[in-house]
Amino acid sequence: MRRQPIQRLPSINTEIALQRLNGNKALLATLAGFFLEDAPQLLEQLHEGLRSNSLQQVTQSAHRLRGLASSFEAGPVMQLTAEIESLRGSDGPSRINELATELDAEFARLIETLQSLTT
Amino acid sequence: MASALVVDDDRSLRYMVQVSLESIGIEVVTASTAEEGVQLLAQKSPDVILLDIMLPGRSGLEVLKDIQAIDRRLPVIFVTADNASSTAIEAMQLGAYDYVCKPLDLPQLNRLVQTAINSRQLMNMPVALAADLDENSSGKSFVGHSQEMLDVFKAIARVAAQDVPVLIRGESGTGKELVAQALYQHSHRRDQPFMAINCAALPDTLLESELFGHEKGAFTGADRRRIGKFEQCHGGTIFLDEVGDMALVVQGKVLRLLQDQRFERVGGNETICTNVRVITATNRPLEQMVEEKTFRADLLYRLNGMTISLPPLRERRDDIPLLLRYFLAQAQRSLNKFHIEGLSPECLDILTSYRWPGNVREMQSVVQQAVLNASGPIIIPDFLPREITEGRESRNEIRTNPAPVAIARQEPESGIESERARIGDLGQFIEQRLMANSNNLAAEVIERVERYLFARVLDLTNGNQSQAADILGVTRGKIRDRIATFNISMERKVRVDKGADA
Repeated sequence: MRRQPIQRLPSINTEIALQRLNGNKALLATLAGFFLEDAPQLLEQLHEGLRSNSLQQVTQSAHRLRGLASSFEAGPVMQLTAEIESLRGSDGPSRINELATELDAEFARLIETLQSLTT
Repeated sequence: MASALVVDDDRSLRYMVQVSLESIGIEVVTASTAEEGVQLLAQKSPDVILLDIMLPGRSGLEVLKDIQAIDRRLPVIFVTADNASSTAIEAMQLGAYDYVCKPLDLPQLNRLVQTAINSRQLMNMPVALAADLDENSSGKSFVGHSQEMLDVFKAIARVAAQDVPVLIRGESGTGKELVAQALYQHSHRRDQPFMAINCAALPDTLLESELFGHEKGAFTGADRRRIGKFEQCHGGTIFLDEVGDMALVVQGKVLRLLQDQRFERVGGNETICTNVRVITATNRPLEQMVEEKTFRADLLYRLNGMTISLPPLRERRDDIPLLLRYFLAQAQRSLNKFHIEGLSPECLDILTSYRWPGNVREMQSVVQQAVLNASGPIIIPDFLPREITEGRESRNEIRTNPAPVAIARQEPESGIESERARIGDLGQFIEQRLMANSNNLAAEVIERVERYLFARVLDLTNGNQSQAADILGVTRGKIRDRIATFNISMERKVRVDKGADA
């Protein structure tokens, strides 16, 4: 089944995220700060894997990104990283690059949303 | 203070777990690598570990083995990225305590970690069997020098090392769980896991799944395979509390397990072999239940290999002063009320002659409340909970025959009507307690409401606990617990003869 078009989904779901954090808004803001510091490096590692044709590096970076994004119930980034994680060598470079491009756009949207949480 | 070690390379996870567990009074140490984690384990001796299943360079299973080599009884909770992680299932089979999936639900995690810590403490807390009183002991103690308790100590000593099932019998609050802990701690399985399950606390289907596990798709909501306690506790000891509340279908499976240590997960065909010692406890009349065909005779014979019966407190009155002293010292320490010197003679007299229907557990609670209420160095009757002093005043009541009515034994006016009147005065009661500077108001109000609710519904069902459980939407175990807590009895009240003795 084709996933829901991600542009229709909000970048994060604050309500669910806060519920999981026992309503602790300060904790959510701190986690957003951690994400802003750590996640760009992971995205860079994913691209490095693409450039060096290391599928293992690509899927591992996607896995870790998904873990970080899940704290905010960041649906679009979680969907895309999950799809990248499930990629096999037979999927071909065009599919991988297509997903990576989508991920870059959603990642930028997520960063913007999280920046507003930390201010 | 209980402590937890969190081993995960993700600093967000370490931080959120630390904030969450510290908010419920658990000290947290963290490590970002397996090596650092194993080092901290040796240095800090935590009560529970949260371990990332995919650490950089090492599999969680390898780390689990390292941990088990250091401390086989330490509960390890794995943190996984996916719900259906096959590694997590394998880890459970190797003896991990449980696993949680990202993103973490912190309220749920807090509950799980607290349960794991309780389980750890059950395994580690030394249970003293001596009649001598050590008020400074940090462990739990059987306190008593009466012949009845000495007989219990001897029975524990006789059977602890034997690998036989033991059935512990006794009224609610007599300390059956302590006996189970003592049996475990003095057995050759003491370095293996100990798991306690309250059979009355779970609905029948959940209990079966909790004990034996289930396969994915075994029933609605079984979205993944679950490893049951009998499989997880291989080599160890399982304590089945309230075994009389077990459904017949689960009884059949437990019987087979006792006979040949084999079982199948719910919805599965694969036969699993295990090696567990089973200790059970109940306050229910199993023989009568066998006659009523609600408990299997063959299971009773199996469980009954060795029985240890705990006497109710009223049958070992000699121990009451000793126990009071023990719980007073304990309450002083836990509530930091060292200025309290002791009980007044009148207070001691009331407590010594009280019937203690809730046994030792009730005494512990009464002493704690009295210490909390005390405004001076001596505990006088005014500081005792009302049911203790009012029960004394109402001992002249006689209750026999006509229409069944649920009553609370210790109340001066004990029928359902008086309970209704009391609930009607709830607003007034709250005002009075506020005026009295109560620092336990929520519990006091909830108790009053629950007392009426359970008595009313039991009155409606003529004492039928199953029907009452259905109406209230709680388990039968909870009904029995409330009956014991509130001293609700199904009696027939004819008259109140103030001149007669009870």
